[in-house]
Amino acid sequence: MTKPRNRVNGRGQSKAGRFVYVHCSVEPGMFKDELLVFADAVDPSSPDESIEVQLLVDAFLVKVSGTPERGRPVEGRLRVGLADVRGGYATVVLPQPGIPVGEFMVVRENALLAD
Amino acid sequence: MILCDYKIKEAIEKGELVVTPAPVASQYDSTALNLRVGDDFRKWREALKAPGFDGSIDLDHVHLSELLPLTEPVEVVNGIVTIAPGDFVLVRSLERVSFPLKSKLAARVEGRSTLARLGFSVHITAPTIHAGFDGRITLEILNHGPFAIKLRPNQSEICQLIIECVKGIPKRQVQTRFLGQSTPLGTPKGKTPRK
Repeated sequence: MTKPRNRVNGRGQSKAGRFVYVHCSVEPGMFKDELLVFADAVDPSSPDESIEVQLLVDAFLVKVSGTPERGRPVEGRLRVGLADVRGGYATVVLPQPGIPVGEFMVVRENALLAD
Repeated sequence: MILCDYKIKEAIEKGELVVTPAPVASQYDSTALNLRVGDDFRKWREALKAPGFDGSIDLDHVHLSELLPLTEPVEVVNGIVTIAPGDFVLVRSLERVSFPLKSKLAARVEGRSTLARLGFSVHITAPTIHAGFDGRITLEILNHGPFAIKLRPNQSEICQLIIECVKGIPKRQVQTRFLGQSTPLGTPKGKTPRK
């Protein structure tokens, strides 16, 4: 099976400390140049379930397709730091703390996107 | 260990700490870097204080999308924002601050002593800026004192960043929550945890 080209491919290329992207949806934030981001994280206590993570970040950290409006989110990609990858899961560091996970969230490794 | 002025400057020069726009000499204190207030002041709508308004929030089920529209801008008059006694105002620092993951640095944002004497609090809680943080720092300003405080957007230095060394590369949460597990989620049945 061919993987999409913008995926972060597996072993050897997923090095901790680098930036990667995760899929998200985006609404306007509180301040100008700020966005409210929603991303799905894996629930560490129940891997088959996901947690909706909310965080407010500077707009330059998100690649957005379209113009977000309140209650009408658009698709986007959030830049995160890669902290750890093992067993098909990745722990990423959020640029600003997210609700309810804090600084880190866990996603499936195949959900990581390259630039 | 807290970084002194020239160590902060060295960290910036090495890219271990990124501050944009670059700080000028007057922003360096002996053991801190002063940051300026931005220009986008917000406050919670006055209507939220109206009698009979149900303003309760369940902290375990916060929906930011519903809360954010309840703020409104604070007026800037002749280049000055006035924060009256009792006012609670949100604003971000002018400077964008970034700590690369492997920088082994973290920071705390604090108020400044002169402002504290006036009863002017610039940051309420959760002062830690973690490795991997990237953005402008949100300040939660509360004027406890008797004076109306005037601030100049993009100019007034109202908070300080105290920068500290972190021992080790910050993976603490990963290693405490998931210590001895083959994946961040746990160890699959029948497998030995990875050391």
